[in-house]
Amino acid sequence: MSKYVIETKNLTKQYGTQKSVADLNIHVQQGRIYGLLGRNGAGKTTTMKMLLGLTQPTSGEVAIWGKPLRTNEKKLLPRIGSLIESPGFYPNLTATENLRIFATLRGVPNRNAIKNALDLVGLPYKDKKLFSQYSLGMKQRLAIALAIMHDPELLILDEPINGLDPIGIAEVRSFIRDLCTERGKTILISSHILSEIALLADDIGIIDHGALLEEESLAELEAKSSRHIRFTVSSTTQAARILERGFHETQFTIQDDYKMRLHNLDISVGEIVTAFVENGLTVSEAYICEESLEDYFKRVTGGEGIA
Amino acid sequence: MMCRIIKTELWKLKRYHVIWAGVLLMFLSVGITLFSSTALDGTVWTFPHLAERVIQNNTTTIFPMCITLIAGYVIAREKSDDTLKSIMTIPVSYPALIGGKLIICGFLSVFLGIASTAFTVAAELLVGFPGFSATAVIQALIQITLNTLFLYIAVTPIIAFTARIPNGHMIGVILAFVYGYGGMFAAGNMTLANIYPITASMGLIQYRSYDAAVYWNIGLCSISMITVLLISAAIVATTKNASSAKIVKKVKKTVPKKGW
Repeated sequence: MSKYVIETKNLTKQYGTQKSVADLNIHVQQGRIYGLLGRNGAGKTTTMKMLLGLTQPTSGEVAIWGKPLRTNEKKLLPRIGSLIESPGFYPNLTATENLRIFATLRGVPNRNAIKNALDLVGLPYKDKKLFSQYSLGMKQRLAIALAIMHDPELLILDEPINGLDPIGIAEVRSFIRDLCTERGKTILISSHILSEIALLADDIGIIDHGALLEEESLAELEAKSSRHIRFTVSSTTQAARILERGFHETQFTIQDDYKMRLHNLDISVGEIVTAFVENGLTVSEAYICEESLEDYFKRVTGGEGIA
Repeated sequence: MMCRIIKTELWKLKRYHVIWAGVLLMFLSVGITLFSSTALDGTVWTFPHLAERVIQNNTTTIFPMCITLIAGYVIAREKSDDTLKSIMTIPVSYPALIGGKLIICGFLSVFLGIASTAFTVAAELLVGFPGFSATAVIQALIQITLNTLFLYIAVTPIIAFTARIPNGHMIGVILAFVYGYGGMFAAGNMTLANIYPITASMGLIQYRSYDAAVYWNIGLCSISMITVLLISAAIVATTKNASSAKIVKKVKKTVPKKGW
C-alpha cells in the first residue's frame, strides 16, 4: 500500500507550446489537509482536473491510493468528492432536486445523505428556491454539499471559499477541519489566499507557473520564515562555539561555512558581534530578519499576488 | 447505470423551458395546416385529411428541426450549466450520458406527437371539418405520435454527430431542417421515399396507404430506420468525453483606435 493518498510523478499539461503544469510531483498524506497555494493561473485547477481525470495529462502519472488513475477511474473516483472551479448545477431545479440527481447517479445508499449534506453546509432541505435564484455563497455551499454527500474518503476542493462571506468562510473552514480531524478524511484544497491555507493546511505545496516550488509541512515553512538574526562571519564553526560557550545558546542553524541564523532574538546583536570580533572573527553581516510567511511566499514565487 | 441516467434525465426536464418551445412548434405546425385549409384550391377538407396534412408539415418542415433543437439543448446544457465535470467524476461515461439523453428525447418526441394530436383535435373542434369520430382521433393519435418517434430516429445521427462539436446544436438544427425538407423531393419517387429515412417514417405509419399511387415497402422502410439507428449508435459509442476535446482559443482582434 502506498504511503500517499495522492502522488503525482512528473505530471505535465501542455497547451500548444505553453506548459500549464510542468513536471509536478505532489504527495498528499493520509488524514491530512494539503494546501495547494498559488497565484491565479499558476496551474492549480489544471492539476486538480488531472487528478480527477477531467483533463488528460500530456505526460506523467497520477496515482491515487497507490493505483494509477488512468486505468482505475471506475474504482477510484467514487471514493473522491470534488469541487472544481465554479459550482455547476441545473438552474431549473432546487438544491434538493439537484443533489437527488447526483445521489441517484452515484447510487448513494443512505436516504438521509442529501439532508445531512445540506444541513452540514447550512442550506434548507426541500426548499422551493431554484438554483438560479441562489446567491454565489449559497451556490458554493451547495457545491460543497455535493462534494461530501457520498461520504468520500478524499476531497479535492478547488478554491472552496470563493464567494463566501466572512462568516461563511469561517464555517466552511471549521467543517473542513472537522472532516479531517473527526472523520479522518484526506483533503486537497487549493487557494490563492495564503492566510486561508495557513489556517487550514497541514502540508503546503507552492505552485507557480505550473511548477511546484516548495512542498513542506506548515510547521517547516513557518520555521523557515520565522524571525531570526542572520550572521555572515569568517567561520561559522568558531562562531557556533562562541555562542554555545559564551552565551549558552543552542537555538541557531548553520547554513554554510560563513552563514548562520540565530533564532533567539532576546540576545543583543551588539554583544554577539563584540564577542565574535574579540575572538578574532570577521563579521561582514549581522541583521535581524523579520520575514513573515507572506514575505516568504512572495520571495519564493518571485513576486506578489498571494495575499 | 443506464436506468439511473434515464431516470435522472427525466428529472432534469422539470421546469425546462425548451420543452415548451417544442410544444409551441407543434402548435405552429397545426396552425400552418389550418391556414393552408383556407386556400381555395378545391380540396375537400375532412378531419383525416387535416391529420394527414399535419403529419406532412411535421415531417417536412417542423419536427426534424424541433426535436434536433430540443435534443441539442438537452445535450449542450451539461456544458452550459457546467454540470459535466460533476457527472464525469462520478464517473459516468460520456457515451452513456449521451445515450441516455437520446433515449429521453425519444420519450419527448412521443410527448410532442401527443401534443400535436391534441392541437389537431382542438383545431378540428374550432373549424368543424366533417369526418370527426373517435376512430379517426385514435388513428390520428397513433399515426402522428409514431411519425414523430420515427422522425426522431431519422434525425438521431445529426443530433449525435453535432453533439461532438462544441456548440454544434445550432448547426444540427440547420442540417435537420434541410434533411427534413429533402423529404418533399424524396416523396416524388416511391423507391427513394421508402429508403430516405424522413419519408420512411411516413411509410412505417402507412401514410395515405389507401391511395393507389402510394406504395410503401415496410421492409425497406424498416431497414432504413434500423440503419439510421445503427449509425447513431456507432457515433455515440465513439464519442469522446467533451471535456477532453481540444481547446480552441479565440484570437482577440485588436480594435483600431479611432480618431487622434
